[in-house]
Amino acid sequence: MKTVLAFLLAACGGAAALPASAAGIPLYPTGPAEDSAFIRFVNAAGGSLQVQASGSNATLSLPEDKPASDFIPVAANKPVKGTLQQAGRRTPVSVTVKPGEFATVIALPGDAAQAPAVIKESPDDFNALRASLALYNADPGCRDAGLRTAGRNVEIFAGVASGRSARRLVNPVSLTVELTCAGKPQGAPIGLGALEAGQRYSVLVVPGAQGSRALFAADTVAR
Amino acid sequence: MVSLLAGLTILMIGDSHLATPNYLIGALHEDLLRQGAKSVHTIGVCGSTPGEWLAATPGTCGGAERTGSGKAVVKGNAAATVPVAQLIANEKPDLVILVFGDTMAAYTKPDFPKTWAWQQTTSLVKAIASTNTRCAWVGPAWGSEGGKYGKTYARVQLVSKFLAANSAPCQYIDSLQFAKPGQWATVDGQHFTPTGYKQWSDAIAKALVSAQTKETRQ
Repeated sequence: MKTVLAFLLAACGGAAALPASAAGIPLYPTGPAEDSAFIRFVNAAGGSLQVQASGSNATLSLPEDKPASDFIPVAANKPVKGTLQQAGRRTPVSVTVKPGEFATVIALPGDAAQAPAVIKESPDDFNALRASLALYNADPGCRDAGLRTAGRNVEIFAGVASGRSARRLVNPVSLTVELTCAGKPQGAPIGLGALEAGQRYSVLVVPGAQGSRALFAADTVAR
Repeated sequence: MVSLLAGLTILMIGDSHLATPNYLIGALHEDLLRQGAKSVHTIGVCGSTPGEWLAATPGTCGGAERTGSGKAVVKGNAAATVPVAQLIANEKPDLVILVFGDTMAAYTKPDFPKTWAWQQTTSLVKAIASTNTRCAWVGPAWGSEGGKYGKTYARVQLVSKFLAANSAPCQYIDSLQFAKPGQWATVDGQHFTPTGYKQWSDAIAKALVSAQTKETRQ
């Protein structure tokens, strides 16, 4: 867009060099060439996960106690290629993210043949007064994933199929939730802490040694 | 009656609507002084987006700056944004007024880039909120459809609705409430005639006083 703008200005005889009051306001872009796109990586494989970007030395380390990366801005419609490395296993990954899309690559337990789960969403719920919570189901063993408030059993999400996600706005309050698969509770309740207005969060359902388990992540965008 | 803007130190930053002497940097700046503001400092950089006020960014189509009762100084090619954190640290304003909307609308694109707009909006609002400085966000006005920017009423409504939902804790000033679509004459669909800017300025000043009144009552 800026190249086009520069061409247009040059073709107009260098209008950009004139004060705005003398030449009127020159044409300028009213937005980006395309919407932003993001990718993040989540370690659900256990141990420490290294994400190696193709064609560079850039490496991202995701330990078990901080399993989710921030959402990293990427060029839309161009494949993001790399390798997931964990306990001697190397799994290639290539993901193309569309404009306006947030892609999450989730390394799952298993051998090198186990492909990571890739779940994408194009949210439309940006709101500074409420919190945004998503449920990502990356566990093929969890049918119709759901989330409800612990103790009160108020449904937040229901029927999220494996490989899919759902998102909604919630009030910015402290929340403890319970994961369900096919309506049955899975594991202990999960404290999400005090959700903040304007912030975005996700609960990810991933396979665990004792069945489905949940990971909680703030959907922070890397600056 | 004393205006609730009286005695305030006001910083106003934004896009092209503040970048030419007879735009908002003229009439709105003067309205704020007339309401008794202790000082008003306005910086407009044509084509700038909210996120470009987090770090110094050269303008692409000029700009202007005005301090107090002095005249607006046209910056031309020297126009550049100043990081808002730096401005707030130096000037310690009571109120920061943001004028953005048209540079986020992508009028010529089929889809509104909402993810990018969300990044732009929240990054600037968070930078101001972290200083505990009050702020007001002046959203886009109707203008007229077409023109060289391809403005449409549907898109400007969408942008205004988006900003209303995402500019908190800044007070949102909904410029679409001030007039009917096409009511104020423009020169190119997006920028108003001096009369149009005077109408917009007066409506913004009135809304700011009203917003401050509500805040005082709470």
